[in-house]
Amino acid sequence: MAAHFETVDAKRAANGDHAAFERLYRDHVGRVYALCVRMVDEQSAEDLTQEIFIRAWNKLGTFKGDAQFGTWLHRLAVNHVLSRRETQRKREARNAGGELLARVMAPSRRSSGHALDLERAIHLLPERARDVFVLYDVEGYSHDEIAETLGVSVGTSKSQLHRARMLMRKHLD
Amino acid sequence: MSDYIAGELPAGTAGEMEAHLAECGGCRRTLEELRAVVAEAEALGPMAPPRDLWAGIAATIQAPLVPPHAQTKVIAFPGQAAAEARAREERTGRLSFSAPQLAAASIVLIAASSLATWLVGPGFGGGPLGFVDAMGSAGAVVAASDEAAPPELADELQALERTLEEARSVLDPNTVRILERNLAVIEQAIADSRLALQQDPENEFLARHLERVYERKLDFLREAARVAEWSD
Repeated sequence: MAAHFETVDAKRAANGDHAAFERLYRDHVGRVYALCVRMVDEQSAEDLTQEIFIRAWNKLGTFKGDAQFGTWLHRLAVNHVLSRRETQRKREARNAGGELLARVMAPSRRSSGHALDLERAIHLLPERARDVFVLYDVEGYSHDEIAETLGVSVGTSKSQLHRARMLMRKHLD
Repeated sequence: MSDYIAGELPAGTAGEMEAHLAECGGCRRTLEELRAVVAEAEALGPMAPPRDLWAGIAATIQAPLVPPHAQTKVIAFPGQAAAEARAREERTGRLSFSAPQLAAASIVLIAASSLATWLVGPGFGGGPLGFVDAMGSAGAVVAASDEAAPPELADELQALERTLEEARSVLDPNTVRILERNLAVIEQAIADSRLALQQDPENEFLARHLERVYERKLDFLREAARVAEWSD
């Protein structure tokens, strides 16, 4: 039933209904923001989240209701994060490399205890391993979906997942 | 081992794995630790942003005339009005915009608050959407809006506004109504953006957004001035 209401709101939003879009934002901002924190960093997550919802607004006309709105939005979010991170990486490559290291070592402000360790450990993973770990173990993507999204083979996705889990185990030890 | 956790190993291979695990304490411990990592990752939930991000999103999505996928709903000339406009143009020789021209103009209409002054000045007060009523004094709104314009743009903005003020009489009234309707939305978006920025002055996203809006305003005024020249 919730999915039905979301589809209705998505159609209303596509016709310019800001209130309907705000309801969709309220329902999904937590998951989108968390994805941004985990795949990029906390400092960039707010801007990325805003950009994702603005992009979603602009692309609502392409949402046909075949999938759930949340699934559609999440795909859009992942693609936007990957795109923006690539841009950011190129920019940082021109600057000193220490900034990125300092940022990823920074603990999450709102996490605590073991969750903090887990969030921090995610940011210690190499980028590709982190992508696969977040998408598979946290977000529930399949290897086929990850392969398509990241432009890698299913075998690469599986090997990166195992690499990530082994590193996480080590970081959390 | 991750394939084993996912249950994706062929039966024979899985059997060999289990046989090995039965004998190897190190691998059993590794497997348990990997399963713990997976369980903890699956338990991670959403995170609330440290502040409400909706204000910045709302300011941006309200800035365009309409969502891009529905843009023609607002800028398209109603058929009747378009026919009347064409007839009027033929009769009077006054300048009128075709639908494609208006569509192109809509791209740069965003943030044309100064043009709103030009359009809703004497003779245009209280347009079809009650622009002046909705916004209060148009002059006051635009004056307040201009206060937020980047200083480096201010001189050119004022010069273009003067040019357009002199040229406004050559525009077709139907064109003016369409512009006025769009500009009412734009003016509201500018006001909303500024309010959001006032409430969250440290928000760089909003500050950049407002700056971009004024740059688009300048682009529009330049384009409108060229259109005015064509009508001379």
